[in-house]
Amino acid sequence: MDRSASPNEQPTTRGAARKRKRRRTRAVVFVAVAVAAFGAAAAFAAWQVGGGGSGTATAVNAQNLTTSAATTTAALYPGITGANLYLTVNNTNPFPVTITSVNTNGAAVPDAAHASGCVTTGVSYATTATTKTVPANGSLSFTVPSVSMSNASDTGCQGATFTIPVSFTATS
Amino acid sequence: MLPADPAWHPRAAVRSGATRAGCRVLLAITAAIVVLISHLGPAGAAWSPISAGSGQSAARSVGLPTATAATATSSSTVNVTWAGPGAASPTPTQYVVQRTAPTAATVCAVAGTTFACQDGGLGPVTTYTYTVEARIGAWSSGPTAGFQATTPAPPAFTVVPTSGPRTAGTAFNVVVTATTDGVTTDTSYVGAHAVTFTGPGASPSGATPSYPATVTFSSGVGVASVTLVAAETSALTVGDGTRTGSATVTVGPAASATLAFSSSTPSCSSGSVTVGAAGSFTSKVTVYDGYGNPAPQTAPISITLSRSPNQGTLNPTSVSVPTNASESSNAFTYTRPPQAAASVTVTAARSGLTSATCSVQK
Repeated sequence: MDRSASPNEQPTTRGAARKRKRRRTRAVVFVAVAVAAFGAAAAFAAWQVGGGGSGTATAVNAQNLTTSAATTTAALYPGITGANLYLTVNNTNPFPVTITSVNTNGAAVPDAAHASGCVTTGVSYATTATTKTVPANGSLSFTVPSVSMSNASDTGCQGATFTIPVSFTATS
Repeated sequence: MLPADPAWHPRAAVRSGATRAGCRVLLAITAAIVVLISHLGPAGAAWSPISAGSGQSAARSVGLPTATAATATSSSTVNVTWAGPGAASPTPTQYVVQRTAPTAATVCAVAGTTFACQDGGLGPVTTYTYTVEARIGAWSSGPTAGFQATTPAPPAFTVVPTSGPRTAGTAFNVVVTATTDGVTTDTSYVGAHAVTFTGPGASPSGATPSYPATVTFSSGVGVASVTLVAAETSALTVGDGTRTGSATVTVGPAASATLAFSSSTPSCSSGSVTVGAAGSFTSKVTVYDGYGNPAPQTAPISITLSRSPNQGTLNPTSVSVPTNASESSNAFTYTRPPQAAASVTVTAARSGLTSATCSVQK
């Protein structure tokens, strides 16, 4: 900027100081605006969960976590509490995601081979806080010791594998 | 937001007081955004998705009880034992024992810390089949394969009379042996025990058998002296309240002792008959021992008949008792004459025997 082009400019020491102050103010304003605009854009992009339709490979569009069948060890029997729920969580995001809670999300369902004889499963799951970080573009298998089985469980439930619906509370 | 005026220029804006005010607003907005960003931290940290999915949890199975066994502990009880299932099974909280044959019943339902129970009220010499089932809550292992025990015979006495002919009124020994199952001698059964003898009856004359009140046992064996009086074959039963045992005993008559009219018409059981003025009395003669038992003869004997006073006719005047018989093979008839005395006594006699008499009245 050319200060000599200003018709109102006063060639005094106080005026020069004021000009310098204004220049600094302008610089701060532009830097702040730039930073704010960039940050806001990034934040907006990161909040997108399952959003889509753009067709672009926008790396910052967050994807929901998914699960896949986990390898289990049989542990449930009537009366047990604190049995493990086995989870394998997949993160397709380019950034790690930390699961902070595994929440109840429906009734346990026995595998097909036991469905007819295991009507009353007696299986319940309790929402459990945890801290598990699923790596970027990766998977994590872990357990949550919050499964119970009541004495009402049908005898036909012996040997069954139960699928227990859950939801995750997570942060990136 | 920056002004949209294409004539706007930062330098001019700075010079303008109004624009200075706009700058202050812009500064305030910028500061707010900065504060907001600093509050939120890095853009990604604010992401809070709630993703649905599922986990898996698998159930175990209740194992079958192991080491099952049934042992008869008496003729009426069986002890059933078992052990828990293998380590792969969760610990059962209950065991249920069933008797499946010959009669079905639940023998017991016990806690998971108990591994035995007893079946009672059973019959002797019977094979019983059992199963055991482990339970946890509503879970069941299902029944084990059946396993069996056979109850023994109950404790008993064996009763053996001494060999040889036994006659009425003559004591003979009976060997009484206490057993645990009818076969095995209970050597722990010792000392004097009160036992009861039953079976043989009283003699025709009313005499009763004679038994000891107690029998002394040594290593399970005792000897009782018994005197029976009825000539008969009967079951002699020995009991002590727990054990019983019996033997068939045949007692023969004692020595011939008396004579009596038998097969009489009319009967002279009362010692007299009334036949009318010219009536008759027909009878045979039987030999009895001292207890009223008929006494078969080992050789033929002749019995003499007589009347007193000597009135009327007696035909024949003797009868004969053949071998192995106690009653004469032939009968006699006494006939009163119309003018006979009011009472004529007919007598059957043989030496060594008590005679028989009958008063035949008009």
